[in-house]
Amino acid sequence: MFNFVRKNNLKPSLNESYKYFANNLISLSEDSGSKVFAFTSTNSKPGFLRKISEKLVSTLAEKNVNVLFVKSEFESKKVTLFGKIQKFDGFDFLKLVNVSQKKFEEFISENGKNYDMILVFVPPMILKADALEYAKVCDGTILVEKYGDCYYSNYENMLLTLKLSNVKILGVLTVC
Amino acid sequence: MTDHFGIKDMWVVVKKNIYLILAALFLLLFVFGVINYRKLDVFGMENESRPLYASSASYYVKPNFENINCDKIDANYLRSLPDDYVSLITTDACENFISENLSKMYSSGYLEFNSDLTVTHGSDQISNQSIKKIYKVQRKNNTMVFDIYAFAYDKKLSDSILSLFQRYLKENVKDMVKNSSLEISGNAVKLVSSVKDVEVDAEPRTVENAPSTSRTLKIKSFLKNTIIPVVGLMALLLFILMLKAYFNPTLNRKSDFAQYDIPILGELKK
Repeated sequence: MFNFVRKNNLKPSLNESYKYFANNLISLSEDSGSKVFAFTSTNSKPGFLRKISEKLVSTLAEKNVNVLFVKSEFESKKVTLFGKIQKFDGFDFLKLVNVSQKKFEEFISENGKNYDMILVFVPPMILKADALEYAKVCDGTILVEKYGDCYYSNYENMLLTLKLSNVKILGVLTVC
Repeated sequence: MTDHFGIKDMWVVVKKNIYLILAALFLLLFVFGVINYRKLDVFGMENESRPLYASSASYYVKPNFENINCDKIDANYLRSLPDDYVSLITTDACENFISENLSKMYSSGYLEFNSDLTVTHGSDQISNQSIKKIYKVQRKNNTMVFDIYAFAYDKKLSDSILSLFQRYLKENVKDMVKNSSLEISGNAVKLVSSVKDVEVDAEPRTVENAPSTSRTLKIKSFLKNTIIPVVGLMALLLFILMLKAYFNPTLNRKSDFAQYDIPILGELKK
């Protein structure tokens, strides 16, 4: 009797949205010659960047892109950790804790040629000033922001900080 | 600041804080519901099976100007005249008179069942303290009128108690108060849910209605007392959330990010 017509959802599904971004990232890398990308956010919720990074790296691995996934942390304790590169299914993983900019730069120059793409996930710069040093070493920075959680004041502060530090902002990745 | 906060952003604030809003709503409904439910006589036993009757009489105190020089009458003196009658009714003598006559007229079992009186078994004496529960005398403010109320769960008994007070006034008070006389203004019986109700809308010359009305009114007031504060507090909560979002706005959609001239590389779903 009643004909319910469901409205077509033209937005991509979860997996497709990652695939679109992965394609964009590959194109960006090919067009600009950039290889090392820093990912950062104003969102300080624990696990926010981790969830996105894991999914993104897996998607790139599915596309046969040789990726190194670098997770950097800056803790208040004076412990330095330069982890070993761990091999996972389709990508490599490296964890850095309180590693200086100089050592990080050396590592990139030595190992950069072995990978198609190096994705460096750094903590929010408004919380950890050291994260900015990593961004300077990378070819460009991509901001990851979630709708409703990104404050204008924080976002503008971060943009200003990156511009003043001559960090190249490649674009913004939004999360619904 | 206002550029960053519009109607759509209000909806975002609601969506973002939906769990907080729902939790606050249920908590407030629960708290106010429990508070008002306890005030509500849920089973209605007292009201429906045992209605409380309030028999009342109003008296007008008429000043007697005979043998008095009218030029020398003080207004305060006139105002004090009804107080004399009120004081006389509340004396132990009057209460004893009521108590003795009630004991003669009714059995102790009847009195205890149909009123708040306490009768000592064996001696059949009514407790002096309990006598105070079955009547109320109050003077109407700034008038020469005072009212007597008698309360009982039986109309016959409440009428009897009132008539005893009237008899006491007729037989005894007449000689004690000079320069004034009493004129009865009217009698009535009304149903009340408690003795306190009389104070709220004392109107001895109207006869009122059935206990079911009183119960309906109680349920209405229960809903009113629950819903109005809950709606008010929820509005306050929403106002605070909106105010917070207004002074510290967030980027809520693609167009918000687009205004910074930075390319949007993708839009990920949760």
